[in-house]
Amino acid sequence: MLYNSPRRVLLAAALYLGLSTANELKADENLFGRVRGAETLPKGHIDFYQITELAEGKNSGSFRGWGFETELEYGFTDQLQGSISLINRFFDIQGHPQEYDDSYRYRFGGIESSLKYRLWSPFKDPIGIAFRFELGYRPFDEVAGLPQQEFHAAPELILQKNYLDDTLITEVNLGFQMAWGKLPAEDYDRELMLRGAVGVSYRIAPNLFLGIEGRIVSEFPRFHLNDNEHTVFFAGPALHYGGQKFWVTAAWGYQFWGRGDSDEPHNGKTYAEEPRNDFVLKVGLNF
Amino acid sequence: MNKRTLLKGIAPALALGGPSVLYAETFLTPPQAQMLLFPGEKLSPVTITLSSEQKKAIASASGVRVRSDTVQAWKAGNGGWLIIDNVVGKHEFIDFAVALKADGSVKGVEILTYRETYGGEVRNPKWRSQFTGKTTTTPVKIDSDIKNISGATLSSVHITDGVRRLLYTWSIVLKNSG
Repeated sequence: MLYNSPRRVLLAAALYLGLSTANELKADENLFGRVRGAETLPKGHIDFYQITELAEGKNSGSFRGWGFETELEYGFTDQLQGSISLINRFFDIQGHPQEYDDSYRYRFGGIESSLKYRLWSPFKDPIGIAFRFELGYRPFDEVAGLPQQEFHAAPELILQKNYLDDTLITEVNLGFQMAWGKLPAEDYDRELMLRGAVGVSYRIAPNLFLGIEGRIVSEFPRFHLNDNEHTVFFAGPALHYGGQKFWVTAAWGYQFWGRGDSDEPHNGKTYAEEPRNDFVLKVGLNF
Repeated sequence: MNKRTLLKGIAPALALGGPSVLYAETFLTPPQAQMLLFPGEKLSPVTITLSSEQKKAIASASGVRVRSDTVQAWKAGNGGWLIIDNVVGKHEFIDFAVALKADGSVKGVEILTYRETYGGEVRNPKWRSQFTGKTTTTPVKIDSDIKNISGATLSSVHITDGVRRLLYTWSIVLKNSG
């Protein structure tokens, strides 16, 4: 109760400034919270995105890590699009979960930019294939807002296969992220993240898709593949509304399984760097 | 003709027994499509309900799923046909009209309503003119005898598939009806 007023002020300020983030997958008209499709924007078109995410819950205490990302995407050609996004975060940590200091703080999450090139279209080719490459800078880590000077590069392969007149859509993402400058947020300077994601969504009514998605993330300090810091698997539903001028996607990912080398055993879960629940709300405006 | 309408043309649409669209980007009403595709001709509505065997035959021949049991068709005095149908767009349905000559070849294609964010280029007359003269003996496929519109791929593919499906609907059902 002591923090109610400043909490509201900070949260409102963060939202007003268009702040932001999803720490992994984002962009395009997304059917999912964390899985990308192989489509690209038509040439000359602009999409504006506001993504809000909430990483909620640890093994104890109260943990809420809000992310707010404001993104602009532009179609350079019908097959190549670029994006730039501004990321802001807000942390509400109480009860010392995972030995974090209790805090109620805003952090500038950083800036990211990406290019996405579509090789094959999911609508007319045997399978949709796209390649995406992201560069980013994060002055505070996305886990708890701890200081760092991270620069990262993240290539990704995106596959999409549609069925039933493009009303049943499957998407697969495979990629990795190499990050430098993790100190002092982490005990080491470099980190490799491998990630894969799968989503299936069906158009249950005009404008409305209902789907399910899952993603697995695995991190390796100092780029050493024989030193797995943690691996986690999230899965959950995703609801998407697509209109002529805007779209909205709401998704919930639940940590079904996790393993971390610095964790106490938590019944097959890892909470040192991952939440129990991963909520995502995306709003996109088309121009 | 490009205007947002609220029930615009619902009366003539109902008169023709065609689909009525609320709050949509309507470019042509069914009567207007008839006037464009069969100028000066009087058409008679024909209500056709496809049997499951006919649906299977059309789907098998065209390679396109048949979603509806009903064909909204009008027959011209010279043996031609006007069919109004729809295909799945990215978010909503795209309504379109196909005019066929008495020999089953395409006389013309018109887009009636289009509600999608992107891909409205399928209304381009030059693109639609590619369908003229097509029959069941031609592929009627994107990247084959029909050019894709880059940036409007989903709409291009679905309308092309829709025209092919209706060509086989004529061949299997309409050709031998009334």
